[in-house]
Amino acid sequence: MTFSGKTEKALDWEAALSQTGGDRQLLAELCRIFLQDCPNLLDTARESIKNADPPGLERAAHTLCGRLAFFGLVRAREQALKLEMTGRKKDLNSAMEAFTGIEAEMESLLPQFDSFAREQGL
Amino acid sequence: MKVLLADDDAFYRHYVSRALENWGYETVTVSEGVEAVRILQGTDPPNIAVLDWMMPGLDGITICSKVRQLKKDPYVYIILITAKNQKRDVITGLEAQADDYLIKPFHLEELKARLESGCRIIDLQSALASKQQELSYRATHDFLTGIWNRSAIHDILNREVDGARNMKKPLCIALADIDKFKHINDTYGHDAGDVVLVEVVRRLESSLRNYDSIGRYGGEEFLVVMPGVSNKDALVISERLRERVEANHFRVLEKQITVTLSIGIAADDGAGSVNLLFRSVDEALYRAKARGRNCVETAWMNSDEAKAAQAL
Repeated sequence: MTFSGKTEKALDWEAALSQTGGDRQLLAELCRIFLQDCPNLLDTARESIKNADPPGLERAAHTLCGRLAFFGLVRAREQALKLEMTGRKKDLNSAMEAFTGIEAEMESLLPQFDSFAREQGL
Repeated sequence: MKVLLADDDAFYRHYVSRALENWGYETVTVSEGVEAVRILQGTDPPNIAVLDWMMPGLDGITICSKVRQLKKDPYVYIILITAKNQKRDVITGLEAQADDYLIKPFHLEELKARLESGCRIIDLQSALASKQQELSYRATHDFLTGIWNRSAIHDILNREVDGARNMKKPLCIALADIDKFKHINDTYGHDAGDVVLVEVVRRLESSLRNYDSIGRYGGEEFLVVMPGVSNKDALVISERLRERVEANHFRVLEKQITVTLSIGIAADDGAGSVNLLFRSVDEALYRAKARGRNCVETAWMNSDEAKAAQAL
């Protein structure tokens, strides 16, 4: 895992591959699923903050947190966990700040998922 | 081995189901709890269930409790998968009678090892169930002829008498004894005697209805329980049994011998004890023997009446 600045710059694909027992194709398929549902999860989190819906925020952030943990993205997962906690504690004042953090993380990470999936022909 | 995977999360569903298929498991995949319960309660349910804790409809914990409440065979080995990683969560999962607990994210190798552990338990359980079935069969069946043994046919008689009385329906029993069986054993040997016993049972069974029961009551004595049968029909059936045995020779040690049966029949009067009913049928059999064997005697009429009834 490499870190640079405030966001997680590069995915450790070896670590991610260990999750699938070295199955690159399966990992690529999972990347595609993540690429599809990540924007929805972020939208749901954003809407939940806007609509003052802490349980909705907690659920979306919790799922995102699980995905990031799966791919071994420690720093991004911490950001998602912060967001999840704001939902659990119904602390919507600090939710948007946490959301901005995770949104920035995802902005830098998602293209890497896309590249990996493309490399596997997906 | 069939595995049910229930997870509302498409990501984990894909992750796990692909792995299960790669490992050669027959996989059934659902995305919500109600459907998972329907499959687990259905016929030929999966042996192993991998259930996500958090799901719409019914969560994994509730499914687990429901499955365990049913106490249905065969046993379903349940692995809960969840992101809940606190010690209290693990305890809650296991208290709901899950067999194993796996925290997301998990490595496939870990899931594989836990599934293999589940397979070992399922295989052991299946071997145990099969052994139990075999022991239960041995405890209730006659080793030589395969029909009910004395204890089992007695239980059946008690049950059928209760049933007949509750439903206010008639019930008759017949006690059949192979005539001069000692002579067959003494003349041809015990192996020949066994051949005769098996063939007599085959002939008797083929002449009975599916809902009649037959058991080996003693050495060469057979008790037939006939629910819903009137006295008159019991006499007709018993005559048929007697004739069926007498009709064709038995082939024993390259010789053809004639085997006959004496039969006593009795009807439940709806009030007396089962022991009394049995005493009646035993007395009727005794009279059949006294009358010269190879005949049917009833507990409810004298020999002349029986002859008249048989002539009908």
